Amino acid sequence: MIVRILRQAFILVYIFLTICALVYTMSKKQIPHIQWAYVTHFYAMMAPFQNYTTHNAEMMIYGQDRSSQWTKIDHKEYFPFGRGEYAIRIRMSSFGDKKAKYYEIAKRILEAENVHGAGYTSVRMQWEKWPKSQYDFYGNYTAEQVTKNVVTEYFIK
Amino acid sequence: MNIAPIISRLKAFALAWEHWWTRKTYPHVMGIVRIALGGWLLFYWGIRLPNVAKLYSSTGMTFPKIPTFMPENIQWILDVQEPNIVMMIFMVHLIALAALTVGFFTRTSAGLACILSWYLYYIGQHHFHTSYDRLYMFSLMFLALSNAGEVYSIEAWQKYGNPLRWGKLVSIFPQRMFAFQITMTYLGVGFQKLWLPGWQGGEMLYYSLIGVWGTPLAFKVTSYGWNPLYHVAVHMTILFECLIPFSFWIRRDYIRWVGMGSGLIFHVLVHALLYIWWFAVLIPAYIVFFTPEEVHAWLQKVSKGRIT
Repeated sequence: MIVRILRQAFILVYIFLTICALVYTMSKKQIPHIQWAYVTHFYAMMAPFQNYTTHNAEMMIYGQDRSSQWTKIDHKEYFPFGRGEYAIRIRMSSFGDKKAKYYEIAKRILEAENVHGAGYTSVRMQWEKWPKSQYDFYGNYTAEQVTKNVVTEYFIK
Repeated sequence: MNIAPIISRLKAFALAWEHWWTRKTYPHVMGIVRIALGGWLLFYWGIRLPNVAKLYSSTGMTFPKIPTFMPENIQWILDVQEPNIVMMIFMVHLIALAALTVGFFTRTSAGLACILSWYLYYIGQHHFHTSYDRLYMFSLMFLALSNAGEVYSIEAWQKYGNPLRWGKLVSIFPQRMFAFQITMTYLGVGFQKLWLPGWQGGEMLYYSLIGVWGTPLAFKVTSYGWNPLYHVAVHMTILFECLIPFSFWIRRDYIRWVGMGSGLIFHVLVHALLYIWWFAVLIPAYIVFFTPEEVHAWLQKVSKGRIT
């Protein structure tokens, strides 16, 4: 009997939280008094691909050596993912204070690069944005079309 | 006022509800789901093996997320560990998934894999915060609640001398949970597109194909330029996603077969044009929309009675 009751309770709670998620998906309004922490996983199971952008953006990582020369660092060494997964992961959207995380990433990359003899004095991370091209992901990645936004820079102590 | 008819109707509804959600039935559907999902997850996590240290350990770019509901005194669970400890945890995860796939200590394996998926999610997967990661976790929970090892498993081999044999009926409950969740996923994904501003025209599809997820084939297609057919394709997608959750449940006139066929075409196209392959596991999971009795009868027919 207890198993039956527990099973029915599980079903009803699951259905209820799924409905909360569906209501939020359809109306962007949360059901009152239901904490988001309980609904978030249910919402996330029905909410991929909601919008689009007309620009591509990528977090580029650069190292500067003692001669002030900037070299692009391959992010795959530290973030071994495809382009799409990297683009989402590097947004650090799980955190309110992203700046501290980016600073820590730049620090760790500088240390790792210098262990391998790169001799960098600083590492910079910046969002680079350019209009999408119908021919290639980097089709419009040109000096005239790219806008750069420095997110963080870590200097060697 | 005579409320007796209402009470008897409520009773009948409660019984029908319980029968639909929890009746005892043949174990074959969940056995097949277990093999398909376990194998899929083994592959999904297995390809991360060379990068475990970078993804989840203190030598990588690992920043765990503490869930808001987690009490402070147990938050140490999500401390980032040294690479050798993380590798050990990861190997336990893979072994659990392998054991689940072959049906060895099935419930324990599924439960362990579910807990470790949760752990790895908050350690390193949360950055990607995808729909399928949550679906995988919930699927493992459903498998942990099921008797999915009753057939096509090492457990069946040990108990009945043959992995194709089985001995007892199992609850349909986990199968219903799978079916319910898949339905709701398609329902939410489809219906929100009716009003989402981004999904009102073909631009959504066009710009997605030339974005971060675009495959070489997608760029080949878009190289021909903008075409109003993108509007048609977007509205076809919306139509399909809104109808598919209902079609799966309609047994007459081959409607569910049409729904599943269009689901197959949709997912294959998604994988061909966008590097988003993780939802492909939904295709074999469509089997949960067939009743265990139907699947059992079909298996008996194709095996010429060798499957009992």
